[in-house]
Amino acid sequence: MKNKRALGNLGEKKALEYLRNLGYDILAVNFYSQRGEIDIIAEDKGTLSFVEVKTRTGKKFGDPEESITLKKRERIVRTALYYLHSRGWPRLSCRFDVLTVKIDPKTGDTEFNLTRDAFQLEGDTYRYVG
Amino acid sequence: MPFNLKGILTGMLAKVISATLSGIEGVPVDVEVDISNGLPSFTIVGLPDQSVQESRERIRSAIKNSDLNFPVKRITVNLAPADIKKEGPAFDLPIAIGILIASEALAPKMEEPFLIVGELSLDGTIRPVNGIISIAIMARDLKIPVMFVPYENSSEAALIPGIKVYGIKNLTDLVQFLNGAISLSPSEPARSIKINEFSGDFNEVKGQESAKRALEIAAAGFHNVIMVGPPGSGKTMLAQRLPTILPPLTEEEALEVTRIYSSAGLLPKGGGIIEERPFRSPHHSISLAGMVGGTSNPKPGEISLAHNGVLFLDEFPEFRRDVLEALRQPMEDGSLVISRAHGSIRFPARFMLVASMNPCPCGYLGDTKKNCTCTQYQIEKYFSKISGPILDRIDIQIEVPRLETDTLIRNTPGEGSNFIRDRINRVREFQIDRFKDGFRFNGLMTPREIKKYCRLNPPVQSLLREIIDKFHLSARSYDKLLKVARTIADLNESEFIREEDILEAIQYRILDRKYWEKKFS
Repeated sequence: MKNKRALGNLGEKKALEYLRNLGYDILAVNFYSQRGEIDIIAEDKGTLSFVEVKTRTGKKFGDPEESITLKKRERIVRTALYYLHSRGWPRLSCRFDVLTVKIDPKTGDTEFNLTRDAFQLEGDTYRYVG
Repeated sequence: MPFNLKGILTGMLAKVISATLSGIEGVPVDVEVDISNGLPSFTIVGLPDQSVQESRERIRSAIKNSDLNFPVKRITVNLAPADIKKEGPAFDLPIAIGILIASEALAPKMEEPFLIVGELSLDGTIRPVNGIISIAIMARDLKIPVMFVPYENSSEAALIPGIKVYGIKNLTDLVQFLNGAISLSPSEPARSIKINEFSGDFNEVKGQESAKRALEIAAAGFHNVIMVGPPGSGKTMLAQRLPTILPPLTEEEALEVTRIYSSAGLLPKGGGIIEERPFRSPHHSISLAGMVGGTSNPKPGEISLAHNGVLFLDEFPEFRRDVLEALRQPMEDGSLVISRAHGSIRFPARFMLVASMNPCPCGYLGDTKKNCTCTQYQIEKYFSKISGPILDRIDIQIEVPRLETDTLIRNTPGEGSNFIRDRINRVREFQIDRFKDGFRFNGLMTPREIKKYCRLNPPVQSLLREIIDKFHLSARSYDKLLKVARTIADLNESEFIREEDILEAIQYRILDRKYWEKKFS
């Protein structure tokens, strides 16, 4: 259990570095709400980006992208709404990104894969117009 | 006008004109696209059905695969007016164009209003849609001068003069054309196409001269026919050859037929105009919906597909009772109205009914060679399946008896279809002159027209009086008799109905006395 948390923290640290290099302006890390958590909130060229970071060490449990389930997406969306609310509904376009970090446990090599606009809202459950 | 004709662009809102089908009529639909900031989503409202909801995934992929940007924004699409149910994939293309305009990826250089329909595939290729000719007619009526349609439908839409039709192969082409980057040339009208598979000739039918004569009269005046005869006497063979003697479609009629086939998605690939009269022969196991048209999703049924042509019902009494009774209204009105929660839809259904049946369940009642094995009850039950009102609407009743051995073996070919057709075409011209209308036939005359065009000389009148008394003709039968007599007179190239025309016509009205008398008089 401890190992898992440590791996996640390591992955997020590397992810922050990676996003900064890409020009993302980091606004919040590990943003919590009652409804869930968003790993990184950043601004990328005028678009608010909610980034979910997934860290894996091998392919044993499938690709990291596959672990973003519908439930997880819902949590992210609800938290994003809360974030927007807490910031007074900024007039920005928003986006959900998924960043996967693969770390080789032996060599420590890392591999990044950033999917911009990885998913969108389904239907009209969330009525937020910026 | 219920909508703004111009594909306008105000800020992040775009409006594109499209259309949907209601029965075989085109109905204009405004595709409004609003793009705003917020959590990214893609919503379609305005009474879309499941197939329209699915278009979101096609549009997203098609735009991405055409090297264009799909906006990461909150997208709301409204299909107006919102009270008509929107079906099918034809909104893919107008929605995609609306999204591109609203996201400012596309700024149409077109001055004139335009209409867009088309289904997208994931790679951005545009696939054909149904009913394009009806949509083109609607566009002409609403004075929309330009249409963008799937390439495979374009020659069909171009049949309607007065609108410029561009056939589009893929999304990129349309975007570049609207941006003024490439030029396209308008499509040419379609060629004519064949829909009837069977082709034969009347000279292949041995004997049965009187039946052939009756069918000639029927074809000339668009009269409904019923043929009664034992199995194997040639009823089906005769009916199948009817299309070879039918008069050609007028331009208006051809357009009507093409519209129906286009709406039903039955036009062959590439489209075209149908220039032959349809011949439909549904099997007697057909359902009510198959015969008159679907109810929940109104598609033309067999009676509409037989519009301006022949509906051949072999083994007439074997059809389900409700299916036969459903023929009554269209036989009277020449069209069929299907009512649904969201209004009613009219399908044209002006067909010539050709029915055939055996004289009894075993088939050999009154046969010269074989004995009938049916009981009186069975025979009565068999005939009672054809109700009086249906029988009343059939102008010509004929018997097709078993062929005599001599006729069967003799090898003299009968008269060829082309000779018969020449006579029929002449009669058709008389009728076009008479009614000043490309749709009308003697068989479709109203009581007022019968009075006007079937005037009788005094000697003929007295003959007719004698006949009415002798056969106890009802008012409706009397009208039918005059209509058939009018066609016979036309075939004989006589302006007036003469005694011999009446005497021939009465022969086609006596079968019901022989078979149905007991029950319906």
